[in-house]
Amino acid sequence: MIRKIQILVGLLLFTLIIGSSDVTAQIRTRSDFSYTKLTDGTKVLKVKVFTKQGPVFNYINNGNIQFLTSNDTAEIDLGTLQTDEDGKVALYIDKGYVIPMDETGNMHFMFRYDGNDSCQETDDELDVLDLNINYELVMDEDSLYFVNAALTDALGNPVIDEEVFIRVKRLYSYLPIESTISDEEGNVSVQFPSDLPGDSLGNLQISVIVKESGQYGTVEAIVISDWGIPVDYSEHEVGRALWAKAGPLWMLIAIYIVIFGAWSQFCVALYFLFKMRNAKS
Amino acid sequence: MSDKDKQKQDRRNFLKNGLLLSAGVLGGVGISEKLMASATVSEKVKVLTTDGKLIEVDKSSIYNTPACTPVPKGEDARKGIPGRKFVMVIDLAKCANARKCIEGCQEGHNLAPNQEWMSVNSLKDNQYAEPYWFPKPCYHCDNPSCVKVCPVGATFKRTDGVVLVDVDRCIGCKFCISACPYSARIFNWGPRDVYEANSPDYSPETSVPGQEGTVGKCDFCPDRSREGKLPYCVISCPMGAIYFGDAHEDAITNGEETVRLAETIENKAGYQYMRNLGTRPSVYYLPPVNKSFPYERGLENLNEEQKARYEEVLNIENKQNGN
Amino acid sequence: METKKSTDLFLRLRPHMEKPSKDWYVLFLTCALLLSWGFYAFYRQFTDGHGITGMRDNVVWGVYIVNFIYLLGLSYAGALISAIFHLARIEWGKPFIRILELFSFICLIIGPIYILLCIGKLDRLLYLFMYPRLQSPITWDIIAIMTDLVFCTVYLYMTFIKDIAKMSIASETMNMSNWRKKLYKIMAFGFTGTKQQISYLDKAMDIMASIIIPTVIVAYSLLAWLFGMNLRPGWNSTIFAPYFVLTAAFSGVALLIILLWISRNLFKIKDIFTDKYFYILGYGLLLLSFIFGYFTFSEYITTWYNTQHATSTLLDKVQDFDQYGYMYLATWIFATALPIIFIGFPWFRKPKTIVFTAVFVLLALYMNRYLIMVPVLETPYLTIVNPDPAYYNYIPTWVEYALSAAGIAAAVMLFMLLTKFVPILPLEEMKEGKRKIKIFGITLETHEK
Repeated sequence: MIRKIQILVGLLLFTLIIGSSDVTAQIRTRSDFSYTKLTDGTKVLKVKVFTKQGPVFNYINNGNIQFLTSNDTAEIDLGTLQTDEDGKVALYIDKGYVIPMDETGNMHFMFRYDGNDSCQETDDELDVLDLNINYELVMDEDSLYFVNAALTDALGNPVIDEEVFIRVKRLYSYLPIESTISDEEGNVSVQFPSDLPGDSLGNLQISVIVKESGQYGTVEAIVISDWGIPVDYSEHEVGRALWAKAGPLWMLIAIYIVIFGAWSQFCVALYFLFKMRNAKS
Repeated sequence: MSDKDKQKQDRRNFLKNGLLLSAGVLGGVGISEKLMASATVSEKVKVLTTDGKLIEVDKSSIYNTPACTPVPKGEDARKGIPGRKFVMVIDLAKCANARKCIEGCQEGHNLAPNQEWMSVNSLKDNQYAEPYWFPKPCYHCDNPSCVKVCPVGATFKRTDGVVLVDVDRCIGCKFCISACPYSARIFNWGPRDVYEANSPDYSPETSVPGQEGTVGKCDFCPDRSREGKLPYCVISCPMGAIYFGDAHEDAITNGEETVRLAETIENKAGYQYMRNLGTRPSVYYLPPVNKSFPYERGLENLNEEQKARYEEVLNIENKQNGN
Repeated sequence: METKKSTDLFLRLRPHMEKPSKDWYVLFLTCALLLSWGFYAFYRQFTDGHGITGMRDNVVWGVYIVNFIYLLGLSYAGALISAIFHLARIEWGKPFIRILELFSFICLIIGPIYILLCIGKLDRLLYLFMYPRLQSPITWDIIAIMTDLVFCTVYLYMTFIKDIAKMSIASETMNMSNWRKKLYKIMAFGFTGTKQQISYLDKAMDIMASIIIPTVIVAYSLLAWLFGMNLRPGWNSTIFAPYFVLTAAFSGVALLIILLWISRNLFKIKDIFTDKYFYILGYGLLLLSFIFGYFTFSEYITTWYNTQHATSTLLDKVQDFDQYGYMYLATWIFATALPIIFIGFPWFRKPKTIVFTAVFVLLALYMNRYLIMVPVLETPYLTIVNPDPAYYNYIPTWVEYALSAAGIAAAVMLFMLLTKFVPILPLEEMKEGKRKIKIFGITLETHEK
């Protein structure tokens, strides 16, 4: 009797446990979380959430991502956004919005994804030190161009031994000019070529960027300079050519002359034909 | 290329392959539609303002990029994108006949599997040389034989160097197909569900939807260039063999690596294929020096008929070389 | 004496112009059946697309364009020869001018239909006139063919007028339907045979003949330049225009011989189309065969001696007996060896053998056009990599056979209809004496027999 009751209770507990948890197991959600700082001080937090089944990646659409930062005592909610079809979402933080920093200038960011029916929840956090890039475009006595930059952190100390890339914006991508390491004073100086084509006014977008540094994230400073060679954007009239819309003039004239010659003779012959008809005696 | 570099390249390729494979899975439905749609929608981003409010602004106001110009239709499509001259540089040392360029182009332009706007040939320069794989898009020649012979002006050359086909005007006489010495053009031989005559969405720049009884060819994807995106073949190539760019800007990129055009062609002895024909193509090739892969790698993923045909092509090459 | 002979001629030809016999109807219906098969093939091609032919992305011009060139060649040759005979007042050539004009006109009607069959979007034909590009060889070709169509039709009609006028009088007493009698009256265009009318008509015909000669030569050269100006190995040759014109003349003379033989037996006019005609035309055929051999040989030997890669592949393909070797050999034998043997040597030279040679010459010239068209398209500079055999090996399908047969059937039907309408011999012209040749206002004195 007691045995039977034990089995019944066991079965009841078993079904309760099974019933309470989800029937389908949720897949582990993976994420990419990155920090970028733009030229004007805007900070960008980018998150990508996805799952991986075998070799296939599935990007999570319309997922709710909550961005947070924290100071010593509490978490501060920055906002909740939804991912797009590629599982990506980006939060742009205006430069005027103050992110709390500790004594070393470190900022702490977090994001939370609360999951859905098929994907588990996930979260991540990162710590970045604030980095400032002060750039300067100089032309020296030999008419050579130089891009100088000074890297400082939030406390004003120079950032040493950090790799800096100098590149130029092109239509599809950035053309790398050079990459150097900042010296003991946090300075870099790179010679810039003077034969790069720019836009119609000769302007170039030069980008000084610290890429995916462990401590500082990605920091970019874009400067518009006139160091490029202007490119002619005016609409040229394509002259006469075999492949253009209008053909060579001599060809058109020759064709018209030949056609006119043949058909005018034909009209003379027709004239005689009609004369024959009318000449009934 | 040193062993370490080769390993690095292989790892990168593996990663690239993985990502591309996943992209390909999605691409079946999502991506191509999205790419079509994004031509006219300007991107918006969420910004957390100084006083902690979330607002939506245009992406271009933050990133200082020019807005995309909409894809022109009809007569306007005959004017080129101002200030540009598109060129393609194909590094023959990197091509391994993965044929992803062919598939990417077919997907982006709604082509049937046997329609190849980009094709891969197999060449052998002389008896001592190793055969190599030769991707061949349309060359968008500066002295195009095809444009000269079109009786109705359905194919035309623009100021940005691109040669396009307007299938709303093409009468299907096929003279341009026979006139092209590089066999770059194909004909739409029969009806297909994706064809739609006189569609209002059609532009010679997108080349979609096609029409039965007209001619089609590689168009250098000018609709994507308007958005700052590279052509389908360039982004599909797992080896990064195809570089594309604007000659006026002197920069070409394969999606990963950006280099200067004049410098690359100078240093690597870039050449135009069959330049003696006088067509002045816009596609340059970098010779297959220090190839990354052996030629046989390109035969691995082919079916029997494709392998047999490539063998036959190689026989003809050998015969011409005197073997 | 003359008038009695000619009246006799007319009396002999009369029965052929009257109501058609049962055999005529049988032949006509057979041709109509073939023609309807062709219509069905066209309908299938229109709905299923050009893919049901043998054409693919490399051989984009197949049997259709070969037929087109061949028929236009025959047409232009007929027009050329008849115009030359007319202008030079060649007396012995007078009897077969009508046949020349007839087949020239018929081939000119049927030839351009084959281009239309090759065009992918037939509903856009008007674009050729709305957006023409004068730099394109196709535009030149269209202008030339339309000009030639108008000129040849009008010239043909002018040569009919005298006989139609005669028929409109004679048909009162003939056994034919009334609508035909009415038609004759309308088409006589008021010609009653007065001296002044004759002089006007002759002037008109002289002018037409003199403009037809350059038109025809230019038109066929433009057609040859569709290939000659094309940057392909095997086509980009400077010799194409004269080569095509002379080959056309060769095929025209061959067809003339065959038609003379057929008319001679059908209309029982052995005394008009005597054996002499066959010998003279046979010599002409032999001469043209030498010229054809000369041009073809120069073409091949200059290509072969120092050749580019793609051209060497092309030559191999043409001479390889697994591919086009037999066709190539047959062309040479039929077009050069046969005329030399059967016309050059006096033992074999008889009207029957001359006609037999002419048949094989026509066949050889069709194969010659085919060899110019298809192997060249199969060997582009970049070897074809598509594994589908239809892409690198052109084989015509039933659609192309049907439409070619329909073209021949249509030609036969047109010939039958036209010979019912006008006599096969230009009776009235044959009655006239030799007219003076007037060039630039100067009258040439001719030696009359």
